[in-house]
Amino acid sequence: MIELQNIKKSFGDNEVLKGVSLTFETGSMNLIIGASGSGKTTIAKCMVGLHSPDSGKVLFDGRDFHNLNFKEQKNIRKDIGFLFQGSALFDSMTVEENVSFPLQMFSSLSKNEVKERAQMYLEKVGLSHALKLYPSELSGGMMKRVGIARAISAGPKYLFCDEPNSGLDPQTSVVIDELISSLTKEFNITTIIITHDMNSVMSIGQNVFFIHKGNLLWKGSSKEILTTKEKELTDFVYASSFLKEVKNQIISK
Amino acid sequence: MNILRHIGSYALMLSKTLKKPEKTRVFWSRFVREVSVMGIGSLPLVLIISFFIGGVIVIQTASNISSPFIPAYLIGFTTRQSMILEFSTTVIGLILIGKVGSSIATELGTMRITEQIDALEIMGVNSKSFLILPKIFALVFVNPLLTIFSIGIGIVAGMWVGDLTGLCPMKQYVLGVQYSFKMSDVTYSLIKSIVFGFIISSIPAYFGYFVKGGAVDVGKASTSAVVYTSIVLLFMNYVITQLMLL
Ligand SMILES: Nc1ncnc2c1ncn2[C@@H]1O[C@H](COP(=O)(O)OP(=O)(O)O)[C@@H](O)[C@H]1O
Ligand SMILES: [Mg+2]
Repeated sequence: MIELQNIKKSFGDNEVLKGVSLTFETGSMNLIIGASGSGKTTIAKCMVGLHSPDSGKVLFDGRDFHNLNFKEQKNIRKDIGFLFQGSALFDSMTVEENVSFPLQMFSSLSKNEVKERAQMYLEKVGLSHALKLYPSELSGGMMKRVGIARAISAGPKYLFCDEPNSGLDPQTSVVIDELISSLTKEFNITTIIITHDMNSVMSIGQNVFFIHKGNLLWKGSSKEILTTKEKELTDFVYASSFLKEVKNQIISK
Repeated sequence: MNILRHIGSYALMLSKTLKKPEKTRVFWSRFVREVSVMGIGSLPLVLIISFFIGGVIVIQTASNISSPFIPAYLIGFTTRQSMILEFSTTVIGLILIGKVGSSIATELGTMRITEQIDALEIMGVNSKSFLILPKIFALVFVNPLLTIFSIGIGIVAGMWVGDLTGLCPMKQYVLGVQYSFKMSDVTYSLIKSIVFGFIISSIPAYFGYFVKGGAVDVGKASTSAVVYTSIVLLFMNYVITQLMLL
């Protein structure tokens, strides 16, 4: 379980997080949604220590991350998988080396076992044909999939995915959502997905958290979203003209 | 004030960098890669530059000797001394800043802005030690070898030029190269090249590692790295020279 208690974070005069409290249950699938610039990435980075919050706590199974010493923080980090918004693949390494890397650094597996594992995860994301390619030779969707394979290769307890399907075509998006969802169930991971893709919200959103201008404005299940009266959230959900049309038709019936 | 702050965070970075690597095997494989990229990759450049410098020293020295009382073997002597004492360390050092230093700053800066460094940190890797330590080790190891290589090329080039132009007969030149040879000069040269190897790898690494922003800022960091590393290198050149040769 991960808990955020009253996290505040400013960059200079820009108050990005204004006291956010969230709880993510073990083995659950959580979606953080919100407009661009609302502070979603900042929340994730505060949670894993890439930013230090100005005040508030982040608890990983009760352990207060920002008050731990370096070694204890490192132990928690070994349990974290993180897919960055821009994938952040190591561009000097091949796809296979990227995915092997966490295992090579921290597991006691032999060279061959590491290789087998990496290949197994790349197969899961449908990239067994791309082992020897470099990140610069991949498409955006392939990079995301390598990023996911790298994030889960060391068997994390907590998985963070920052906009896993931004910039992907709708079909690839669905594949990636399903992939993350099935991995979450298979390995009982606590997964946190940052997204503004309503399609993902509907298909895999178990718990949804709506961030608006640095505050948690709403939380609930994906079903509850459809009936919410919260104005900012309905504006966000029905932003696309297609959905607006559908909504109007339903109402007029 | 700004300078003091930079020195402080540079020292802090070094203290995090000079840590025992997490995986020795991974460290050595990165070390070998850096040695081949920075060391072997710089050989052609060092060869060309040392060749021309050796040749030029011979011509300049010869053109300044007009008195028949000054023996021609002094040309060989001067070439050897100039290469050992200054050219093969300082000049080659400055050139390596442009080649190796700027590429270190660019590589780390790019890794910073594309969040590759954050990715390492999240995995629990000490990114400073992982990325920077192999580079420092590699350059401290390789730079003295490049210096010796450069001295050799410069002296041989001088001999050819002296012989071909008729400015200094080969026999005289070889005599001069052996004349009044002091091992301490070579020691001085090698100590400089070790210190320079450390400077040329660690200062650009500092500028690259802490880049903020985008591609433009990576370019700026690379330029600053070259400027400041050059200044520090010349300053340290003076300090070591005063300490060792006075
Ligand atoms: N490292 C940083 N330095 C300064 N400002 C930042 C930094 N990271 C994010 N911000 C600011 O914080 C706000 C929220 O950014 P972010 O969390 O990336 O939004 P989101 O992920 O929801 O699109 C933005 O206004 C952005 O400019
Ligand atoms: Mg973001």
